[in-house]
Amino acid sequence: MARDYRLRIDPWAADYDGTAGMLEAEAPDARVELGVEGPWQALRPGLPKNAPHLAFVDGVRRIECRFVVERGGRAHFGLFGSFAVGAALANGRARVLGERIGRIAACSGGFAVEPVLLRIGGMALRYEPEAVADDRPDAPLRGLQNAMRRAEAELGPELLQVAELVLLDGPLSSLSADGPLVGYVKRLLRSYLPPAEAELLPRLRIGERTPLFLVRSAPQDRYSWYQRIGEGRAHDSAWAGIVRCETGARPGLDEARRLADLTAACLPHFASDPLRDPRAPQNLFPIGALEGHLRHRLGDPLLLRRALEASVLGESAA
Amino acid sequence: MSQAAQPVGRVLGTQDATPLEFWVAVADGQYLQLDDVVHVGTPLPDGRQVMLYGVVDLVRARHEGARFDSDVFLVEQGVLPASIAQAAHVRVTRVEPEVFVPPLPGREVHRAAGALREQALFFDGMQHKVPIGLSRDGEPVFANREFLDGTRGAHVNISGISGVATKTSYATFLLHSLFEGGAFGASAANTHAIVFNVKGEDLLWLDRPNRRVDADVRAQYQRLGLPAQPFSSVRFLAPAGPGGVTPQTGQRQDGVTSFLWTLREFAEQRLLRFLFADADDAQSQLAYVVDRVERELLDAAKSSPKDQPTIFLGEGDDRREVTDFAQLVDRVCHHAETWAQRAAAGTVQAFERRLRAAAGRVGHLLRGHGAGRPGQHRLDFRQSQLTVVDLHRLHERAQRFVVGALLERLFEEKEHAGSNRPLVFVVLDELNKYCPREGSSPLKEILVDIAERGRSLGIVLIGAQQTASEVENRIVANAALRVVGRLDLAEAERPDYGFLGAVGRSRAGILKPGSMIVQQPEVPAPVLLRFPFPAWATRADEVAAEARPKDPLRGL
Repeated sequence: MARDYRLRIDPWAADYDGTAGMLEAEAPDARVELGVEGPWQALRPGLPKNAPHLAFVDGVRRIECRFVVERGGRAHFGLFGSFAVGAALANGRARVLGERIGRIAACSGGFAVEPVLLRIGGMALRYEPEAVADDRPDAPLRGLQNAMRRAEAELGPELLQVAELVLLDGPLSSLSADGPLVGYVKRLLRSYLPPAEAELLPRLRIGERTPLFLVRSAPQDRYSWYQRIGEGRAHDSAWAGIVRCETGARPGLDEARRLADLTAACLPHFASDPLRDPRAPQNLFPIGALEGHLRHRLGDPLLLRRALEASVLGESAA
Repeated sequence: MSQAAQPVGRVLGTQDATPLEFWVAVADGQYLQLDDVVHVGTPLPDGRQVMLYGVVDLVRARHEGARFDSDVFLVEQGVLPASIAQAAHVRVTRVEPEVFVPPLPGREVHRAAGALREQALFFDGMQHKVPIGLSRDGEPVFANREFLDGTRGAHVNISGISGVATKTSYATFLLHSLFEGGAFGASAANTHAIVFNVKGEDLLWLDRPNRRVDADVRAQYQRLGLPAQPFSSVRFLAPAGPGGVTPQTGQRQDGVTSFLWTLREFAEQRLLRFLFADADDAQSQLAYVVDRVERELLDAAKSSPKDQPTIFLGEGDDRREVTDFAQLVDRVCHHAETWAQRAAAGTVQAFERRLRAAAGRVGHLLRGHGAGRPGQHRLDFRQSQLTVVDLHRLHERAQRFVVGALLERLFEEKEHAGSNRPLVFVVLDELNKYCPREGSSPLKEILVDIAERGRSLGIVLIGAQQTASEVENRIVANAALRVVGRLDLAEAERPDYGFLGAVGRSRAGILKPGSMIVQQPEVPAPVLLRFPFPAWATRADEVAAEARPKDPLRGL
């Protein structure tokens, strides 16, 4: 019996980022306005004369140890976690800068624990409290994610001093400032386009983009577009190699077009290959390397966990 | 902060740091190269500071943040961020005070200069320093004279491929440093050297300046504290040619004295054995015959008129003067059977065969009445500081005879002297020919004796060979200074070069002419050094013009 569907590989590695990706389901109640940039067809911007200085911002986070707060007969779940954010600046040479490490003790139920101090070798580490309002099971993890996103957002505007375009990982959040900041969405979890317009996407070639469309939703209106940065393999889905970008609508349509042309033309240069990155080609080289670098900066998880356990043990003995 | 005061890096924590070796992460804007001398201070819990000194013997650079080989292309394209990390491996040479703790990771490492460098290489404890070359950074490297003159050690052994390893050049440079550099001070008058020239004519121009010496070379000599001059006191000896007493030389015609032996000396000094100087396996019977014949000759010499170059052989009516060596050979062969009664007939015949064969090669050096004035043609090393004995035109057999005979005399003289002064250096190349590992011979025995007892006798052997693995082990092992020039890589793997270490062995395979690796007793790590171009000529056409002696027959 012939099948009425097609099965293709989603090239995202099987166990990568499982639940975390779900945490940021893209704006569910957005309204999309098409036709803001002429007829719906593939656009191919030319390469700029001088290679622009691009900054790629990303962050990594890690749970060191989960905990439970027992308080007045109730239990709140929490976790000790670390995050690191930084940027990869590509201006002829690629290098990492602006690394920031943060450590937090996230707790659900809106409860803020006291800061936890650790000593490892000659270094003092401090886990700051991060209270998350609700009591859902994923609340502590969201707390860690939020702390990371705040740090990323702070980093963005600083980079405008050394880069002409700053690429943030994921959709723009409420904290994103104005300026040439572009949100870069690697995983396309929801479709903003009706089926007729969505047909254009697999037909895009590398370096081409769709026209802009306006997304009206919280936290701010955005101009968005799809572009192809690389090809998938034969058995990958048709959308492999397609990414969605967005930038704030406040600076105006012309500025948004300029940024869209820049990203469409320049990003394919940084696309990764499957040999090196299981999330190729969407996980650009600078971002993949930046993630590795930041993960390294978080420190040895075993050392931290032991120090945390010792600290809690010390308290329990007191 | 000046360059010297800034640290060159810090002790690594990702590799083990031990009291005998550690790694250094090289700081940005700094570099470390092989053979650099560094020092690092590390604190003890009681507040004391331990200083470790060492020599860099490995430097490596790698990308941090790259996993695949092809990542390097991505980095250069500006797509992949990666940084370059350099690290150097240090072999510790000295720890002061001697508390053998590892340097803690993170401690600052500095280049050692001046007094600290002297401490690192143990130069500060040397009472009498002899410059033996320049290190890679242009600083002098010293050896302790006490390990060269027999006080605490003696003997030098040099290995390397002929033609590239510059063994003879280095041996002469050492002599130059010892004699012309004032290392012996007042007792220089009582120090001598005998240099055997077995190959080519390089050593026949030691007293003539080299015209190729330029300002750079002069600066190097000055750095070493040595005069850029040829040797000031040299005598040249060459074997007398057949049928006369004029020396048989090549390009060098002037200032050469000939040497030979009279038949009487041959008999009195028991030199017969050196005609059989090939190393054989356990030819004990032959040695017996030789011994018996020697005794008979010695007796004959004692009963012959003194002050004559000849001897009388035979009993009663048979007693006749032997006037030349051919005659001697005949007479000896005639009497051999009776003199060596207990030997088997076959052995005596072997003796006769070999004696005749040797006679053909060596005979012209042994004279009867045509020997000139008595005593004129003897080698007397006291007549000049350096005596060069030229052998390169002699057959191998004759070379062995001359070396054996001369060393034997030297040895006996020194044994009877009762003191180890005057000090005599003996420079001999091709030791694998004269004292090979297998077998035994009279010459080999003398050389082993010198190696083992030379210190107390005041004889220091500066020996050289292509392959130390083929030379008698006792000679190589007794050398206080072990020097290596360019080595064949297969040879370098042999246990005889264990002192080089793995890194030293690989480097020995790529040494340029003029570069040597030296191991001396006080310094725990072998040191790579360069020695300057010789200030003395090594060929006729290198002799500086104004020094060339006028040809008296010119213009005729």
